[in-house]
Amino acid sequence: MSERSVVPSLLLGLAAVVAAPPVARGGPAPAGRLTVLADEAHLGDGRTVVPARLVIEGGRLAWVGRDAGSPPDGAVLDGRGLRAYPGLVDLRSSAGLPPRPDEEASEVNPSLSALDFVDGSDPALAEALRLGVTTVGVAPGGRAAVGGTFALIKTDDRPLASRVVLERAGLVVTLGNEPAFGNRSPRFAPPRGLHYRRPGNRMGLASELRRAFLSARRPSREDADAAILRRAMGGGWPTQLRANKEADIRTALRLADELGLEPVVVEAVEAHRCVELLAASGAGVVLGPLYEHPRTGLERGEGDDPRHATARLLHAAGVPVALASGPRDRAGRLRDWVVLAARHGLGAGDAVAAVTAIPARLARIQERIGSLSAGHDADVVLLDGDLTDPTARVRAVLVEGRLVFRTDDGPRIAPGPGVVRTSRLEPAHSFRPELAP
Amino acid sequence: MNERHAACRPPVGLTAALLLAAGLSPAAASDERPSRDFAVWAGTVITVTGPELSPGVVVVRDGRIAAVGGPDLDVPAGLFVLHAPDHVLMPGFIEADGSRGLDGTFETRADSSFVRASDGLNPVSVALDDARRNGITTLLTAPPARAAFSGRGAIVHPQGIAIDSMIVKQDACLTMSLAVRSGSRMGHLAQVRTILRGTRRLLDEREQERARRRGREEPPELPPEKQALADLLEGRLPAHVHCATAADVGTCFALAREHSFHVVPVLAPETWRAVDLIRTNHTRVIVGPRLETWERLPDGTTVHVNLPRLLHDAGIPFALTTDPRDIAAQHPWYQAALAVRAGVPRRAALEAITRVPAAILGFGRTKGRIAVGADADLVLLSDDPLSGRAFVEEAFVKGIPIYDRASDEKLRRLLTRGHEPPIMAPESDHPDPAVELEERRRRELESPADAELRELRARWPLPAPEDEPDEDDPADGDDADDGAEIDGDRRSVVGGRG
Repeated sequence: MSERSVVPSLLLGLAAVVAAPPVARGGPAPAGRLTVLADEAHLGDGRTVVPARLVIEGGRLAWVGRDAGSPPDGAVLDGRGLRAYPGLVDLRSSAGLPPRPDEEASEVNPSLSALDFVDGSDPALAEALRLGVTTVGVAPGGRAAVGGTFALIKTDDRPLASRVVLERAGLVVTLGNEPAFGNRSPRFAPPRGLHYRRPGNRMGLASELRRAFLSARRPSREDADAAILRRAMGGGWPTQLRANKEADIRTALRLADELGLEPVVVEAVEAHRCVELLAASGAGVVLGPLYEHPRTGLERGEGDDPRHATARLLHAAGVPVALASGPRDRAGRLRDWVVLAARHGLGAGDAVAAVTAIPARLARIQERIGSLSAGHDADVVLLDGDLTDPTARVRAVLVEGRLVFRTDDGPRIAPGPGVVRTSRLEPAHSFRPELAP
Repeated sequence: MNERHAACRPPVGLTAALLLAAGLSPAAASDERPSRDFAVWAGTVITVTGPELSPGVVVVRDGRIAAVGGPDLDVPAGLFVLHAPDHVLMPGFIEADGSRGLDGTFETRADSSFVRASDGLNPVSVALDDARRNGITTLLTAPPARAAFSGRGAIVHPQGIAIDSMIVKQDACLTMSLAVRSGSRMGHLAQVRTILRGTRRLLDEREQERARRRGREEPPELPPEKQALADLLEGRLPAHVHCATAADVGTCFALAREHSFHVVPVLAPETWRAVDLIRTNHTRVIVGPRLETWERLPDGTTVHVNLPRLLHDAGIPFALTTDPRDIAAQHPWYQAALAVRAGVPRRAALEAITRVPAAILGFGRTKGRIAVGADADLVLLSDDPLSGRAFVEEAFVKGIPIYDRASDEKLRRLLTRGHEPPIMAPESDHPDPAVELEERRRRELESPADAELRELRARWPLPAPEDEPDEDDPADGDDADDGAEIDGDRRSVVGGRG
């Protein structure tokens, strides 16, 4: 109660305010070689290496394998006692999204690029990084039937242009109720405004989509929109279709089949009702956000039958299942979905794959991102427990070989002989507010 | 998991087993009170106030814990023993604040202190059903903090269908809110003070009246709508004060001092700057359902604050609450795990969902712990509570089972494909009764997960090794003889039903 005892307790208490150390600013990848040691490395495809050594050179993993105990040359990041995972990949994230992600000027906007509105300094990106997410997908909103293309970016603090993984990673299509919002004039009122003639229900929406894609096939169409749509129909470039109700998922797959798209069904709450169809069509599924109670408000009726078992059932049928936090939830929820997916029957290894290797595969960046193997980007997350353990905390994150986040008690880089560290972490701030009398 | 469970437990649900032990048939369950004498032999017993026992034995007599010990504990002969070597036994989780069971609209008038949660309680509410499923055996439910004085909360056990059988304490708290909903904070607090002063004046007048009558007759009763506030100011009712910012915490304590009433702050994570003030006031607090916040400071750095960690470091006992609408935060163990992730020790985190809320609600000795003399409010978990995998297998209130996962249809449906059975049962492929019996036995022992898998494989068979489908184009319709079954299936599935 005395003055004397207040100050130390304040400092004590505020040591716990994890004044998140700022992510390293700019700078090229460190020269030379960095060796990361860890108790376990989860490679992302279900395999584990115990104990693990990762050798990073020039921002990429040069070698991943069992640590034989030989002294490493060059800089060393001693993560012994921790587990290494590939940087998590969140294909549908709210991090980087601006407050108004919907362009409602027209219903079909294929040439809009999400990269044009990504807010690279969004604190949500830094928050996602601190929770282990190194790659996020930022997509246009769902008010338009074809919203545009989605972008994949890394979550560290470099200038945005240098951390774009793919500017146009795939097409974004939305099914269900959302594109029809705002398209109907009030009941009994005469038609008003330019919105009247746009689709007001699912029939109109599907027809609008068919019309847009099929007209893009005409040789006379030489505009950017048609080029994007032809690319989506040509294969090798995924189309994300957001569909929640079973009927919408079936429509999505039917359209993909008719138009030759490579479907990735997003959110897919009722996917457990059409597992065989998804398996037969070869579609991928991005699940999330996960919820248990039927939705209310504007989203009422969009996926009234959620099940915990969806991820497990899809995986058992051979459908690639990824988890994503969703455009309305905090980026950190991806960790929650991993915990829940493991709890509800998806094996621990498969739950890890669902946030690393599989989303990378669905976005066609699996050559570079999503697993700890030679040649991949050196995006490594060091945790003090299993990824499916809710009490495990991220201790360090490397993005393309640079240590961009470290907790106060996390591992440090010990520079090797002859190696000059070119990127330095600024010291962690500790916040001391004014004392209240 | 299910097979092991079956091997270790008697093959009937616990309720039936207890009834059998009591010499009654399961069919009479609704008429007779089931026995409250039994023992539990669990792989781990988390007593909260004592050491963790691995394995541990707990003896329950007449709804109270009679003995706690290791495997060598003397269990009275003839007592039914629930044998659960792979499970964890804990005190039932306790929620010290929330609105479970109250569905519908709420009063927003500044002084709505006279309304009671027990009047608005819906015993079949989804939130109460989920409370049982998530192992919450005692909870306080109060009108949400929509008004300055939102109403009185009640402590209930989420059991049964009659409100009377649920209520433990009718008026357990008065919910106050310092968070402003409309208008300015100054106006809001002026209103709060006006209401409190008005009540204090009424009470003073009543005292003067009593003195004037010199004890010969009682002065007239207070108007009923002032009863809750009178209880507050005379110390019979604590206030649960919802604080949204650090300033609200200061105001909360200032009001409590000014008007002499007992407060329990209910904290949003944005109140983290007031932690030291809370410490100097020596009070228990309630946190949640949000536990963390991110703030950007003027110098550009971002702080990530986990309030339970701050409170623990300052030595303040805190209770965690849940969010019934969130798939993860509805579980008390999940909230405890978030606290552990930020560095709160395991023991303190588990206390925050058992012992501390019990103390806040006034049941510090009888609930929230496994110790001799405490109520047998127990929860049996399938795994360690902080592992992230735990499901509640059984829950008891005073020795009476209120939840049994084996008979939980809703959870079973959530965890499986759970389609409704067809109206017309299909013709059996096995007319031979012996084979049918064998089939039926095999299906009974099969877990739901295996059943799903078997169903899926039957409908979507993998190609036999010798007929590998064409690597280049498995869906090529021209190869009529190659994987015809697969191809035909696909055509009919995609083109037909939709």
